[in-house]
Amino acid sequence: MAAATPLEQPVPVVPAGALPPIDVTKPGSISQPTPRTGGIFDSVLDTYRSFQDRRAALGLSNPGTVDNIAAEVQRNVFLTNQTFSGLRAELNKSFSIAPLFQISHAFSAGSQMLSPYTFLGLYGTNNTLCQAQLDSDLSLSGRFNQRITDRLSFKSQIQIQPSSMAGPGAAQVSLEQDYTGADFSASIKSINPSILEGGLTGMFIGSYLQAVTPRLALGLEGVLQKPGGGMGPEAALSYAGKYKGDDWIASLQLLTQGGLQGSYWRRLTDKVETGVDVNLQFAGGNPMMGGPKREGVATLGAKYEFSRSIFRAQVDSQGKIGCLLEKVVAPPVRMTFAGEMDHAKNAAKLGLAVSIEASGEELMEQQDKVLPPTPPF
Amino acid sequence: MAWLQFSEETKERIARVIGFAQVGVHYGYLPLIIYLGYTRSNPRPSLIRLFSPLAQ
Repeated sequence: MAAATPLEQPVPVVPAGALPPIDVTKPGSISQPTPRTGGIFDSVLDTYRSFQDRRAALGLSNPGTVDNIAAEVQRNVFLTNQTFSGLRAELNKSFSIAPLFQISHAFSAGSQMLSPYTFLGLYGTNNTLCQAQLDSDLSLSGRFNQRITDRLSFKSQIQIQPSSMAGPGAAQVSLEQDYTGADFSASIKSINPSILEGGLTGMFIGSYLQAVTPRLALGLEGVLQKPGGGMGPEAALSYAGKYKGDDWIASLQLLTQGGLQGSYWRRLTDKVETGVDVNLQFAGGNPMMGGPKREGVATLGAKYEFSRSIFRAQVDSQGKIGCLLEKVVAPPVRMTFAGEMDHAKNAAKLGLAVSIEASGEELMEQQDKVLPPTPPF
Repeated sequence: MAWLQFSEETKERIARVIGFAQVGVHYGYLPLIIYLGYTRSNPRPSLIRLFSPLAQ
């Protein structure tokens, strides 16, 4: 019994008078009284509960994820993912709103990145999202997301290229668990996990972002890479911070392996947004070149929203200018024009796309009555 | 991680199962989505509209 005595010593508990006053106007800030068990658990639970009460009294909101820390600049203002070259035609058909069911045919010509024909199917309910995209060279990329509880969701992605003349087939799987808390977000992601090559191999990413004050959020992200075949694991850590002003957001991400990314987003009027992004690399790059490689890119972008069109423009310090104009010609027909000039490489890209939304008349009538589901994207 | 060591036979079997699963996902996932959408959507669309880009 001598070993049990240290457990019975009283655990120091923060006296109740030292706590800040709990905001009674907020529901949930007062904990329900629970039955006393007697013994050590009461004091542990009391400490935990008073900590949770104080945390709830701060009134913090969810800060988003580490991945999306600069999303306002990189996804909304910049044309990173939206620029293309060549001609494209896209036909989207919605068959149902609840559950969401869409099919899309995309034709493309004159582009090296896009395959000539792509077929896309999407099925979504409130808790499930299934999406698959099959190219004309039979490569598939699919997503399956499932919301397990309100806060916890599971996301998976798969990409399969069949073996062909160009090379052997390849497949990539990524599995992700996301937890969206009241004032924090946490996620664990594994890419190509395998236990066949001697132990657990693959790439594992864990990230955590916590709101510290209503405006400031801090977080970190760790990447662990374990290739098979006798090579040692590699780890990298990055720190992230985000500060939200009234009409601006600044974010900073520091990679301990030698990189820094800062971004600043500002809403100038309710139709105009601008963003600046600075990316500095102190190390890494090609080790054959000798010595750490130092380079930096600064990008400035703007987005204008007009009543029936959206215009984005950006210029960066490597001499690249790009613009993208999306225009709604008639409600079902949308045209997109993309142009990019690279002065350093003396290259240019032009793209024109037409996208048509075809949905039946019954669906149009339904649109006002049925609330569309929100699948876990 | 001693518990992760498999015999060669088991490894081969797991690799074969993964290979079959990959083929199944590759050619079965998109039909599954279309089947789910077709049977559960409201109103149910006609098959010709489902596959042909031209049919309205």
